[in-house]
Amino acid sequence: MASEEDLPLSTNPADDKNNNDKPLAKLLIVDDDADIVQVLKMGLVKNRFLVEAFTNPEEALQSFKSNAESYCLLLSDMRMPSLSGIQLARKVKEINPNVRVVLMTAFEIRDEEFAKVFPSSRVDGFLQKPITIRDLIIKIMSLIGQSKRRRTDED
Amino acid sequence: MERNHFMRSIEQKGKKVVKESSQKIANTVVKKKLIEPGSHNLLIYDDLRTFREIYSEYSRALLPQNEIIIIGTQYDTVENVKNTLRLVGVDDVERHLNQGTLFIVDAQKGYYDAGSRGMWKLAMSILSRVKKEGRQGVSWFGDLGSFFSFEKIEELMQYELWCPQKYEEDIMKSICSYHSKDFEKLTEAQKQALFDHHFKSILVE
Repeated sequence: MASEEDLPLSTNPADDKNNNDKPLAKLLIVDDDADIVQVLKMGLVKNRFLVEAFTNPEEALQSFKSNAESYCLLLSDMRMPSLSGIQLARKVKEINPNVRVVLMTAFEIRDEEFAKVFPSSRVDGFLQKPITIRDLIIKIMSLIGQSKRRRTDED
Repeated sequence: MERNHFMRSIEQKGKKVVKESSQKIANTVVKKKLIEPGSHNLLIYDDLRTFREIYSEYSRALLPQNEIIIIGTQYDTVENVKNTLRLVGVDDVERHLNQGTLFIVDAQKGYYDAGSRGMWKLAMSILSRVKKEGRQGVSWFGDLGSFFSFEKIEELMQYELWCPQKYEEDIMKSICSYHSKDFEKLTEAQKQALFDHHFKSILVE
């Protein structure tokens, strides 16, 4: 597992020739649609991400709890039965506030509504489905890059 | 799940409960005419595929009989619902949407953004049209998942218990739909109250 210090700031992981065998980051992917989970996982693994993927958000949370420090980012669907994306995000951030959270949805994104209902839940980004793997990687890399820069500034 | 306990308790009270497998439920709802005129019903579906089958088979059977159908969707987009209806062979989905005989609504907007009674207001306005135009009736499937997403369980209970068990108008039928994983989030007392309050409870096993 790569630490955040190992992560390149490039948004094109395929261009990174120096660390070809190292995973770029460990991601937790959650969507109740199994097809979407499979496609995202395949696309991200191919681009050197380490991915744990779930269709059941409760199971995803259990997995996160057991190894919270190893994850860099949660990518979750917004509308899921039993635990919505925003609820999952809140729980994940409670356990590890450094984890970046991106929520994706095929519905209209109205993040201000979530901010009103869950003012303490901070989501780092939203993505409108359908999503291309390229756009997803750009989003992930920019968030992970921000995280790295923030840590460097703090040091 | 404490379903057996609930079933015993509800059945003892003489409440109408229908338990059916996911393979047969859509057919049972349509063929056995489970949704009775003027009734406010509870449906607990086991997964999204089952819910899709139920509302689409129901729409396929009832739309040609001059019924107006409202589908409030929470976990599928409006576009996905349209596609599902097309796939099961609902004739000319676009025509029904344009004519106002089929309404597909984002349930989160309907129940949450517009206030818990937003969907109710929509259904009631369609009901007046049904009467004016002499149509057979209106059937309303509403997924209540948004109350769980926003952790508004108290509002959900208030809304559900505010709705009548039987409507004054026989031409109105509603099917309050819950994903079983959402329904599981309720307390035993809340589940019991919902079973007690609805005219009929349909459980997909």
